[in-house]
Amino acid sequence: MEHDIMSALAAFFQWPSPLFLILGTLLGALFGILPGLGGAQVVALLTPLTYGMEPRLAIAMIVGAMGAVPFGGSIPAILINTPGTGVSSATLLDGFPLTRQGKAGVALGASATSSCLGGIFGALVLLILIPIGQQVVMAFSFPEMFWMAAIGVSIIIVVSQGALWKGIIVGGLGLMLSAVGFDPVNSSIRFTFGITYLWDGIKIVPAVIGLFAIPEAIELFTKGGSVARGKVETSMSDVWLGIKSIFKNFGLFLRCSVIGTIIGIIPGVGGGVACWVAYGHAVQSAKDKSKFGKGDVRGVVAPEAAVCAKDGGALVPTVAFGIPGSVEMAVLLGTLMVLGITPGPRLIIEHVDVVYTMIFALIASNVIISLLGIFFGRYLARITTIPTKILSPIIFVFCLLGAYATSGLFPDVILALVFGILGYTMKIFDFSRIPLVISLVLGRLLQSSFQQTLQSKGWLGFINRPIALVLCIATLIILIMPLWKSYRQKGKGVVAG
Amino acid sequence: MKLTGKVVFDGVLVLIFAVMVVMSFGYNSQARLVPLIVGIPSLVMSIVQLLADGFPSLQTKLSITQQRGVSASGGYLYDHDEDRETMKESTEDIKKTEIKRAVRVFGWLILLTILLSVLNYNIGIPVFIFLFMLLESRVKLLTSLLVAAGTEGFIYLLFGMLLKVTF
Repeated sequence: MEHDIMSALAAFFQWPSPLFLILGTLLGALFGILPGLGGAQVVALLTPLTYGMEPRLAIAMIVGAMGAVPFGGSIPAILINTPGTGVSSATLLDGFPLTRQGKAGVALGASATSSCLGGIFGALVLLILIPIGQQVVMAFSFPEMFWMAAIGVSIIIVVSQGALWKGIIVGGLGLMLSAVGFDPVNSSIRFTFGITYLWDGIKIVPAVIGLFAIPEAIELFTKGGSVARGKVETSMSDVWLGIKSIFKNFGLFLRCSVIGTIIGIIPGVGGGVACWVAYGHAVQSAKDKSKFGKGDVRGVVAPEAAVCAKDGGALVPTVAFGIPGSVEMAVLLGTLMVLGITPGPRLIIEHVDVVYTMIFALIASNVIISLLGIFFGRYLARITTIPTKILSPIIFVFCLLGAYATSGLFPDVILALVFGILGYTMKIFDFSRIPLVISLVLGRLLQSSFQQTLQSKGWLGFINRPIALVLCIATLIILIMPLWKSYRQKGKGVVAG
Repeated sequence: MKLTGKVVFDGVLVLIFAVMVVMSFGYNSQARLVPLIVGIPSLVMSIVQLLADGFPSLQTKLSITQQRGVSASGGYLYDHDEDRETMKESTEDIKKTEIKRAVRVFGWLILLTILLSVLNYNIGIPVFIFLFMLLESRVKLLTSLLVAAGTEGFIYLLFGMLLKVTF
């Protein structure tokens, strides 16, 4: 194994492989930054370029691009409250408030370091798991996937603090909206009102753009001034503060990296779950929760670590069994086949060099994009000083173009606009938008895995497998613990009174 | 019942849940299971919220709707707003002029959507940015022109030349 690793490493650094890696990384970062575009699109765009290319170079470029997308997506989430990709939607909760406090450098430094180290963590886990990956993947079936989604949704009870009742109502709305469209499990079409476009369901990226980016851009415009309300700290020392925050919260970083990797390994769960479970964990495990949602750097560290660690995990089922862990992995599978490489158990035996190239490319792209983020992100932060009367119309244009770019359908633009109106109304009437996004993202998985478990294993199927039972207990703990804590605090208050 | 914006929004939520629940009964037993499990409690909760917001005298009886941070240690988590105080402004403190401006901006966004559907995006986007900045942002003519041209140049290079995306 060591010999294989060393020879693959030597091949990886052989010119022009680093050049292709850097090109892929830069393109991946650009796709991440642009709302609506992401890993799947960048891989799809690069695939035709790889025809006839040496597999080593093609893989370095494509995996490099995929590795750079998550951090790229966090940049607009932090700076202008517009998530570049769906997986960055949790980062904006604390990243943007930090920017408004003039601490964009801190947020970018924390995001860059967390995503870099998280990505490396995930890649190293992939390296270790390759030989035993089969058992890990096979251990997860519908009940486990249901409980993973349930854990994600139960996070609503944590993130709806302050308006729990409304949070649950909005969470219910998200789950109902996630039922819109064609249900692949029982082949029925629900809540489409005769609109063919809705057969595909409510698309996440236009919905998130509408819920967060449009209302925020409108508010920025109506309030005037600039995005950053105070002086913008773009000095290197500020970025260092962000970097140091990872090491100050290293336990949290490590736990969230583990969360991301595990979620990545489970096919079909994806980064949307990883970021919210990690964010919820950060809130729930913190002693002082008062700053979450207002600019707590831990709210940036946690989702970034999980989202980037997830990529390494998602490669386990992709390369080991040919089961794509996410949409971008599905596109990657196609690309590998174009290159004449058939993913599956034999890949590890016949093309172990390909697997190692993927791991090295993932690590290297995370390092490159994070270094770029650390050294040049502070210059990007200056965007936040542009007057909003100039910046807002540009954000509006990118919101609607981003919505369109998701799948090239014009109704996506209308969907973003409708969710923009909903998001703005929710904002002014004190309804948190976070539960809506969480349940919208996880609702489909929750419903399909619920139906599949029920049909294949019955009601007992939800709890009669060890991992499912553990996840069920974890969900109950997440739901009950805050209520129990509240009850105890009330009790103490009565005694003190 | 005092008909405030909040009450109207609660009413819209009740209506959405009611329509979806009623529609669910028309689906087969498997397809309606989850929407009913989620929809009926959500409908009940939204009706309670509507009553609490619409009849202030009921608020003490329906105190559950006011329940605050179950695991908070004095702090609250809100979307992105700096302080709870800022968020608490909600309907009453957000100036009417700001809401009027927001409604106007939505009008502009509808215009942008129409421009994108009717014209080529290479024309629609600079026209929108130029008009918005000049008429709504009240930015100088030259600055509006420069920003519109700069944005269009960037978008053309990226979407038109690199990604080959066309509206």
